[in-house]
Amino acid sequence: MNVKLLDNIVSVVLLLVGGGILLAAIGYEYMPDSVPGPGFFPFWVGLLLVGCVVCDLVGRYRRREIVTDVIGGAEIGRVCAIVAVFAAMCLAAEYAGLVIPTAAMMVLTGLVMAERPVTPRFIGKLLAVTAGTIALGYYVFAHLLSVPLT
Amino acid sequence: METLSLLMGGLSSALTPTMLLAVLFGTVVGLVIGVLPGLGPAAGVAILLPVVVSFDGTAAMAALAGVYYGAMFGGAVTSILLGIPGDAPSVMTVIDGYPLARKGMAGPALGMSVFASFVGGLLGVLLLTVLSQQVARAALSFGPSEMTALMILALSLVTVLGGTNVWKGFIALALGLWIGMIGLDAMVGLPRFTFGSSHLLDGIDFSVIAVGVFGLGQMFASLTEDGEAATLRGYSFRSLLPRWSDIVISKWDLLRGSIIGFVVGILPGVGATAATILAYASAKRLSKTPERFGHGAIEGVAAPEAANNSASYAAMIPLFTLGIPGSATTAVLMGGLLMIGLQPGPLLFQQNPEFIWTLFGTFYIGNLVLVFITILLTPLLAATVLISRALLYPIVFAIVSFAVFSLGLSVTDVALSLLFGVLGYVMLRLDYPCVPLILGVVLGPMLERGVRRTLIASQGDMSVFFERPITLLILAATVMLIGFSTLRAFRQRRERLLKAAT
Repeated sequence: MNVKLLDNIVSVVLLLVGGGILLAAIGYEYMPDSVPGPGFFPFWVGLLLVGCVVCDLVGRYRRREIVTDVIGGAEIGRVCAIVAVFAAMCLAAEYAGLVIPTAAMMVLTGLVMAERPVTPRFIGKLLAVTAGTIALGYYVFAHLLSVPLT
Repeated sequence: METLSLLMGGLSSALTPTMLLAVLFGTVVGLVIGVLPGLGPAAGVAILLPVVVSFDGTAAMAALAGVYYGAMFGGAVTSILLGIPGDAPSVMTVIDGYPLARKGMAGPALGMSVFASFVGGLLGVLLLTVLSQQVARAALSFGPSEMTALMILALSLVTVLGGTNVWKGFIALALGLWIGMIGLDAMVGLPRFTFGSSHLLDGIDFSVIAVGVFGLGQMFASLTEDGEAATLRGYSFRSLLPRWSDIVISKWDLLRGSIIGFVVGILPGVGATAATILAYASAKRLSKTPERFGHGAIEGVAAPEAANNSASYAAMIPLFTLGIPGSATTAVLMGGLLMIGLQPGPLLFQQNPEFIWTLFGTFYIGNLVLVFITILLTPLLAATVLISRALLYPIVFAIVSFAVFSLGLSVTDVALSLLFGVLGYVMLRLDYPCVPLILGVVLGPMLERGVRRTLIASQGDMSVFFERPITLLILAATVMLIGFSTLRAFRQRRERLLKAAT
């Protein structure tokens, strides 16, 4: 994906966020009884955000930036895969506690990041590291710090 | 004399088993973090934040500070052995450290980096001890309007910390200010930007944001980077001790580097990286044989490493005395202070002297302990870079998950840290600086409270901000800072255009 395209998409999203903050600020009361209310600060922050995004867009357009940087498919794929694994872990942890989903996340993340072809030796190391980390993590957090992980 | 007796008291409090364990824990973690390319001290402090929050307050800060200066020690290891800087301030160490390693002199280079780090750290912590109380006393004359003006000055550091694109810096700041507003309004109790979620009524925990943006974000950005295959030889304990002849050659560079590091490091927004660049440049300029620099001059390792560690202590002066975090790491440290219920600023010295002086005591101990730990662990630390990211990153993800969960016993926090990780990744790839975002999150709520309280007390009269001389001075400094940064940006743009035209 072209970096310039992503930059423009993000700028549009930020404009929408800034606009949303401004609208919300109006609903929170700006200056009740001549003193700043809960909407005072959000109003100016929203304005700052919108203003700076517009200035950045205008600056980029005026400079006519030729950006050839590309975020490769491999990178996007890996990041998306790991984010998906992490998100699935969060979802599973709501029902099954944190330990098993985290162990599964470790294995899947390692497999996503491993060099191809994935060797049995690497899988062995990954499983050993996962077991060791989960065991140590459980001891420190659940046992020593009394955090209910399961 | 008063400072000395306070320091002695602090040292004796720091010599308890709990404090020593906390220092050891933080420094070892910091060393490992410093060795790992892609994870800097800010990421290390952020990742450890949810773990240490359950420690006793002083022990927690001692551990976090240990991560900070430990990472400064550790950053040199990969710089010298692999030519890969462990963190941004270690970049200058690569220039002469790596050539020394390639000549078979990695041991002396590592030994000098440890010694220089110790000297720089010792000078830094001495000056911190001597100067911080004076700065704190001066800052006691600050009232609400002065503190508000100081917050505005701190936020205007975005022009310095904001990277090459100032607009993107302010965008990141605005995002941080908005994130800091999520939750119940502190003054009237109205929920703001909670999207109907009861979990967000208390706002978003600072360490969730810091772990996500700095820790996970940096890791996502480095997922496809290939580490150079390392070929390490074994290093004996003796070979890692600094050579006396190297110390004699580098004595003035060690002292100069330490002073430059301290003076530059104390300035909010400038940071250890700038300090190492200036220290290296001065060492080269004042050397009788500058042609050796870049090809394995031991002074080229000594100066930046001394500056690096001195700056890390200096950066804590504006943090503790004025409540201004001058760098990404001190911004995260500030979050740690707030999490344990302490407000950084001049009153910290008055209301919590035991905390401050015990913490300073741990700095002396930590600096000394690091010398021995680094020498002992360097062969092992050096082996850490051989661990594949495919094994290392899952470990870090798991620790992050457990640690963030332990904050509020909620998986929602883990999911939020993932969201901030994605945000951090996008910001890194699109050159949005992350430090202004953290500045906004940490300082925004304080600024809002300061402004609203001041205006409520003055019945909405804005002139209250222009009546006190110190406030006016700080606001003038803010305007000057923004003005100089804007002028510099215009000048650089004009030079670029002229260059392009020719």
